[in-house]
Amino acid sequence: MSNNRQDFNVSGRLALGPGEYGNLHFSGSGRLTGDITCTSISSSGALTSEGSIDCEEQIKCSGAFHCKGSVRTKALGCSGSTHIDGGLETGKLECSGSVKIDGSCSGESIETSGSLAVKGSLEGKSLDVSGSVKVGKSVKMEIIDTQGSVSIGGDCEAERFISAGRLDISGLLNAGEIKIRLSKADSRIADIGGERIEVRRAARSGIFDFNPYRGTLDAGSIEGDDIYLENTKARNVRGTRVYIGSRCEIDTVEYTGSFEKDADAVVKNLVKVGSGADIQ
Amino acid sequence: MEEALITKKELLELTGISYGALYRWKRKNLIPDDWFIHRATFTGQETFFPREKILERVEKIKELKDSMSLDEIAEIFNPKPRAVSLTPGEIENLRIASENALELFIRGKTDAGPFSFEQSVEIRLLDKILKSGAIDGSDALSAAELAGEVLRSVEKESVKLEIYKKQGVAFSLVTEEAGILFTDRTAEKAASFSLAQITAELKQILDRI
Repeated sequence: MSNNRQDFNVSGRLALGPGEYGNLHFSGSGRLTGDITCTSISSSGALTSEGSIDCEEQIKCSGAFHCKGSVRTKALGCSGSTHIDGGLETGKLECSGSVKIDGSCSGESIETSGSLAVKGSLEGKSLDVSGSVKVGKSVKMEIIDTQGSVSIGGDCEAERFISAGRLDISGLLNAGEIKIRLSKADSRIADIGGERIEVRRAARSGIFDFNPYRGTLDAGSIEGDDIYLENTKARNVRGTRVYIGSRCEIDTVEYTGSFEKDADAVVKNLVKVGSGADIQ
Repeated sequence: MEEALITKKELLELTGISYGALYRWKRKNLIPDDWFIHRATFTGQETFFPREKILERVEKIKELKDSMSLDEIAEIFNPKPRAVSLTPGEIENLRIASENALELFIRGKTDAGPFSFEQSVEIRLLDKILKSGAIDGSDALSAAELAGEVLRSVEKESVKLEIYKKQGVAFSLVTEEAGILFTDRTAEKAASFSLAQITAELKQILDRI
């Protein structure tokens, strides 16, 4: 552990050059003019970095933070507004404000109650969203748990995908367990593939909700082992055990094991295929 | 010349696997993404696969999945070494291999480290060979070296090392992981080591630090 690193406490304006630092505190306006390595950063003012930041411990920002390079840190906590022109590599990301990343983001544990926007791709272990998340390219996580709005420009992969809120996924949603609770606004997912797939309509929001059944999912193909759908419009649904619930409109259902549908569900073509898959 | 293709539906029917299994194997990289070929047909969008390659791959996965984890199987088809540099001290402390194996390796190769990922795999393999008691000393070292060499030269699949004994003489064979070996019936298989498993173990150890 280098003990030559200087700590800085800035309450006015200060520009620091490239190099190695210890713990940096900014309550005024700070400027990092080059690439730095540091122990920790905390900023409640305005902090701008012209270069990249390699932080050993954590970066906490409650003000405005703009990094023109990339950020690598053990943890990033943002309750203000953070903008990273490059990429973010972090162990933990906690965002209750707004985080914008122009590159890609990798984080073991990513939590946002604010808004997270990543132009590149997002990967890590767990993604917990109670605000909004927008990813330009693909998402690859182990667990995704969202209660807000999710927009993904590419494919999305996870072992578990649990969501309540509006979804807009332009690629393939491929997850072992998929549990979707739709919102009153319409959702769209290009294709869905997985083992257990469950899509349920939005919950009724009180006695004055005069249109309680609105909010549908528009999908291309939905393929899995156990499929349960409500309020879903899809071209093809293929699976082992398929249940098409109310307010669904499906062009073709192909099943190998069992099929059931609600009285008001529309299934234009029904095909029983093969003798049931043995290996699941 | 275009390769023969097979539809996703045909694939599932022929192999008896379910949609869930196919998507799970795709997630775990057991089936490369670029084998999923999307084409427009008169029925809409359909997914196709290169026929021979996918049928062979699915059969191999079906064979291995009861004895190996999906991550270990993924290692077989995507052998991906890591950029690491480990000193002998680190190899011992992380329990990648015992002192015996390390010493044998260092003496035999006159290389005191630090060691690359591939070398660490070889050292761990050597450790397992010594612990199995099938062969020892310079025979064990040559067997580990052979496996390392073959692994580096075969790109598409990981390998396994098998040690057979016949009338007190031991010999080592290295073959593709999912390959089948037919030997003289009087030869006895003394030990078998999966390089894919060892590579996966090493990665797990490195991930934990």
